[in-house]
Amino acid sequence: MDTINAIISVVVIVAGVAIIIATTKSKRDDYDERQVATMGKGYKWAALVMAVILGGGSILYDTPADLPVNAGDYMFLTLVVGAATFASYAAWHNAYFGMHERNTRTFGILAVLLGACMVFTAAPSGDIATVVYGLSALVVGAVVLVRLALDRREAADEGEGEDE
Amino acid sequence: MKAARADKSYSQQRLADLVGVSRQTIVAIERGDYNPTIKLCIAICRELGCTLDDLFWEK
Repeated sequence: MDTINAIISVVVIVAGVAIIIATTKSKRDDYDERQVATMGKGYKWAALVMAVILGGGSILYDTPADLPVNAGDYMFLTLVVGAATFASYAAWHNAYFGMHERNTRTFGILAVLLGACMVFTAAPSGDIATVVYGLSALVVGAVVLVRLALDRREAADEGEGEDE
Repeated sequence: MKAARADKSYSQQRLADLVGVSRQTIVAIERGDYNPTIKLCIAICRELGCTLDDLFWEK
Protein backbone atom coordinates (compact mmCIF):
# COMPACT_ATOMS: atom_id res chain seq x y z
CA MET A 1 0.00 0.00 0.00
CA ASP A 2 2.86 2.33 0.87
CA THR A 3 4.48 1.54 -2.49
CA ILE A 4 1.29 2.40 -4.38
CA ASN A 5 0.96 5.65 -2.46
CA ALA A 6 4.59 6.50 -3.23
CA ILE A 7 4.09 5.78 -6.95
CA ILE A 8 0.90 7.87 -7.04
CA SER A 9 2.68 10.72 -5.25
CA VAL A 10 5.56 10.66 -7.73
CA VAL A 11 3.15 10.59 -10.71
CA VAL A 12 1.16 13.51 -9.28
CA ILE A 13 4.32 15.55 -8.64
CA VAL A 14 5.74 14.85 -12.12
CA ALA A 15 2.39 15.70 -13.75
CA GLY A 16 2.16 18.89 -11.69
CA VAL A 17 5.63 20.02 -12.66
CA ALA A 18 4.94 19.19 -16.33
CA ILE A 19 1.72 21.24 -16.26
CA ILE A 20 3.48 24.18 -14.61
CA ILE A 21 6.31 24.12 -17.17
CA ALA A 22 3.90 23.84 -20.12
CA THR A 23 1.66 26.60 -18.82
CA THR A 24 4.55 28.91 -17.98
CA LYS A 25 6.08 28.52 -21.42
CA SER A 26 2.84 29.26 -23.27
CA LYS A 27 2.09 32.28 -21.09
CA ARG A 28 5.57 33.70 -21.47
CA ASP A 29 5.11 33.79 -25.24
CA ASP A 30 2.05 35.97 -24.81
CA TYR A 31 3.78 38.93 -23.18
CA ASP A 32 5.32 41.72 -25.22
CA GLU A 33 8.56 43.52 -24.34
CA ARG A 34 6.89 46.34 -22.37
CA GLN A 35 4.88 43.88 -20.34
CA VAL A 36 7.99 41.84 -19.48
CA ALA A 37 9.80 45.02 -18.39
CA THR A 38 6.77 46.10 -16.35
CA MET A 39 6.55 42.71 -14.66
CA GLY A 40 10.20 43.13 -13.67
CA LYS A 41 9.32 46.38 -11.89
CA GLY A 42 6.35 44.62 -10.31
CA TYR A 43 8.63 41.92 -8.90
CA LYS A 44 10.89 44.64 -7.53
CA TRP A 45 8.02 46.35 -5.72
CA ALA A 46 6.75 43.03 -4.40
CA ALA A 47 10.21 42.19 -3.07
CA LEU A 48 10.45 45.59 -1.36
CA VAL A 49 7.03 45.25 0.25
CA MET A 50 7.85 41.73 1.45
CA ALA A 51 11.19 42.90 2.85
CA VAL A 52 9.45 45.67 4.81
CA ILE A 53 6.78 43.30 6.17
CA LEU A 54 9.36 40.67 7.09
CA GLY A 55 11.57 43.31 8.70
CA GLY A 56 8.61 44.55 10.71
CA GLY A 57 7.80 40.98 11.69
CA SER A 58 11.32 40.29 12.89
CA ILE A 59 11.00 43.27 15.25
CA LEU A 60 7.40 42.57 16.32
CA TYR A 61 7.98 38.92 17.14
CA ASP A 62 10.92 39.83 19.37
CA THR A 63 8.62 41.86 21.60
CA PRO A 64 6.43 40.30 24.31
CA ALA A 65 3.33 41.79 22.65
CA ASP A 66 0.42 39.41 22.02
CA LEU A 67 0.17 39.42 18.22
CA PRO A 68 -3.03 38.42 16.40
CA VAL A 69 -1.29 35.94 14.05
CA ASN A 70 1.39 33.35 14.75
CA ALA A 71 4.79 33.52 13.03
CA GLY A 72 3.89 30.85 10.45
CA ASP A 73 0.75 32.67 9.37
CA TYR A 74 2.71 35.92 9.28
CA MET A 75 5.18 34.42 6.80
CA PHE A 76 2.39 33.16 4.54
CA LEU A 77 0.62 36.49 4.88
CA THR A 78 3.82 38.19 3.70
CA LEU A 79 3.87 36.01 0.59
CA VAL A 80 0.22 36.77 -0.18
CA VAL A 81 0.68 40.53 0.23
CA GLY A 82 3.82 40.38 -1.96
CA ALA A 83 1.93 38.47 -4.65
CA ALA A 84 -0.94 40.98 -4.43
CA THR A 85 1.53 43.85 -4.79
CA PHE A 86 2.99 42.33 -7.93
CA ALA A 87 -0.44 41.51 -9.37
CA SER A 88 -1.80 45.01 -8.67
CA TYR A 89 1.24 46.74 -10.17
CA ALA A 90 1.25 44.53 -13.26
CA ALA A 91 -2.51 44.78 -13.74
CA TRP A 92 -2.48 48.57 -13.41
CA HIS A 93 0.21 48.75 -16.11
CA ASN A 94 -1.56 46.23 -18.37
CA ALA A 95 1.09 43.59 -17.94
CA TYR A 96 -0.66 40.91 -15.88
CA PHE A 97 -2.77 39.11 -18.45
CA GLY A 98 -0.51 39.06 -21.48
CA MET A 99 -1.26 40.65 -24.83
CA HIS A 100 -4.63 39.06 -25.43
CA GLU A 101 -6.07 39.80 -21.98
CA ARG A 102 -8.19 36.69 -21.82
CA ASN A 103 -10.70 36.32 -18.95
CA THR A 104 -9.72 39.68 -17.47
CA ARG A 105 -13.19 40.73 -16.38
CA THR A 106 -14.03 37.27 -15.02
CA PHE A 107 -10.82 37.28 -12.99
CA GLY A 108 -11.55 40.75 -11.62
CA ILE A 109 -15.13 39.97 -10.63
CA LEU A 110 -14.18 36.65 -9.04
CA ALA A 111 -11.31 38.24 -7.09
CA VAL A 112 -13.58 41.01 -5.78
CA LEU A 113 -16.32 38.53 -4.80
CA LEU A 114 -13.87 36.13 -3.16
CA GLY A 115 -12.12 38.96 -1.33
CA ALA A 116 -15.38 40.48 -0.11
CA CYS A 117 -16.64 37.09 1.12
CA MET A 118 -13.38 36.45 2.99
CA VAL A 119 -13.37 39.88 4.59
CA PHE A 120 -17.02 39.85 5.66
CA THR A 121 -16.91 36.31 7.06
CA ALA A 122 -13.57 36.63 8.84
CA ALA A 123 -13.84 40.18 10.19
CA PRO A 124 -16.49 39.48 12.87
CA SER A 125 -14.45 36.62 14.34
CA GLY A 126 -11.27 38.70 14.36
CA ASP A 127 -9.38 36.38 12.00
CA ILE A 128 -6.79 38.94 10.92
CA ALA A 129 -4.91 36.64 8.52
CA THR A 130 -8.04 35.80 6.50
CA VAL A 131 -9.06 39.47 6.46
CA VAL A 132 -5.68 40.38 4.97
CA TYR A 133 -5.95 37.58 2.39
CA GLY A 134 -9.41 38.83 1.48
CA LEU A 135 -8.27 42.44 1.26
CA SER A 136 -5.41 41.37 -1.02
CA ALA A 137 -7.83 39.63 -3.39
CA LEU A 138 -10.21 42.59 -3.18
CA VAL A 139 -7.51 45.10 -4.08
CA VAL A 140 -6.21 43.03 -7.01
CA GLY A 141 -9.73 42.49 -8.36
CA ALA A 142 -10.60 46.17 -7.99
CA VAL A 143 -7.41 47.26 -9.77
CA VAL A 144 -8.13 44.85 -12.63
CA LEU A 145 -11.72 46.08 -13.04
CA VAL A 146 -10.85 49.79 -12.84
CA ARG A 147 -8.01 49.35 -15.35
CA LEU A 148 -10.32 47.44 -17.66
CA ALA A 149 -12.95 50.18 -17.50
CA LEU A 150 -10.35 52.90 -18.19
CA ASP A 151 -8.89 50.95 -21.10
CA ARG A 152 -12.28 50.38 -22.67
CA ARG A 153 -13.13 54.05 -22.47
CA GLU A 154 -9.74 54.96 -23.90
CA ALA A 155 -10.09 52.42 -26.72
CA ALA A 156 -13.56 53.73 -27.54
CA ASP A 157 -12.27 57.32 -27.68
CA GLU A 158 -9.31 56.30 -29.82
CA GLY A 159 -11.34 54.20 -32.21
CA GLU A 160 -13.57 57.05 -33.34
CA GLY A 161 -13.20 57.84 -37.01
CA GLU A 162 -10.54 55.23 -37.72
CA ASP A 163 -10.57 52.31 -40.04
CA GLU A 164 -11.08 49.03 -38.15
CA MET B 1 4.06 58.00 -34.81
CA LYS B 2 0.43 58.80 -34.15
CA ALA B 3 0.32 60.93 -37.30
CA ALA B 4 1.92 58.18 -39.39
CA ARG B 5 -0.57 55.69 -38.00
CA ALA B 6 -3.46 58.03 -38.78
CA ASP B 7 -2.15 58.45 -42.34
CA LYS B 8 -2.46 54.70 -42.76
CA SER B 9 -5.88 54.74 -41.09
CA TYR B 10 -4.73 52.14 -38.59
CA SER B 11 -6.24 51.97 -35.14
CA GLN B 12 -3.93 51.36 -32.21
CA GLN B 13 -5.26 47.82 -31.93
CA ARG B 14 -4.62 47.09 -35.60
CA LEU B 15 -1.06 48.35 -35.45
CA ALA B 16 -0.52 46.42 -32.22
CA ASP B 17 -1.75 43.22 -33.87
CA LEU B 18 0.46 43.81 -36.92
CA VAL B 19 3.65 44.27 -34.89
CA GLY B 20 2.78 41.67 -32.23
CA VAL B 21 2.36 43.74 -29.10
CA SER B 22 -0.55 44.81 -26.90
CA ARG B 23 -2.60 47.92 -27.68
CA GLN B 24 -1.43 49.47 -24.43
CA THR B 25 2.17 49.21 -25.61
CA ILE B 26 1.33 51.27 -28.70
CA VAL B 27 -0.48 53.76 -26.44
CA ALA B 28 2.58 53.99 -24.17
CA ILE B 29 4.94 54.54 -27.12
CA GLU B 30 2.72 57.29 -28.58
CA ARG B 31 2.54 59.02 -25.22
CA GLY B 32 6.29 58.78 -24.76
CA ASP B 33 5.87 56.65 -21.64
CA TYR B 34 7.78 53.70 -23.05
CA ASN B 35 10.96 53.50 -25.13
CA PRO B 36 10.60 50.52 -27.47
CA THR B 37 13.50 48.26 -28.42
CA ILE B 38 15.04 48.77 -31.85
CA LYS B 39 13.40 45.51 -32.94
CA LEU B 40 9.94 46.88 -32.20
CA CYS B 41 10.80 50.26 -33.73
CA ILE B 42 11.76 48.54 -36.98
CA ALA B 43 8.58 46.45 -36.97
CA ILE B 44 6.48 49.60 -36.50
CA CYS B 45 8.36 51.44 -39.24
CA ARG B 46 7.83 48.55 -41.65
CA GLU B 47 4.10 48.46 -40.98
CA LEU B 48 3.71 52.22 -41.31
CA GLY B 49 6.01 52.49 -44.34
CA CYS B 50 8.36 54.96 -42.64
CA THR B 51 12.01 55.09 -41.70
CA LEU B 52 13.32 55.14 -38.15
CA ASP B 53 14.26 58.79 -38.63
CA ASP B 54 10.74 59.67 -39.74
CA LEU B 55 9.16 58.18 -36.67
CA PHE B 56 11.63 58.36 -33.85
CA TRP B 57 14.15 61.12 -34.58
CA GLU B 58 13.37 64.48 -33.02
CA LYS B 59 13.83 67.24 -35.58
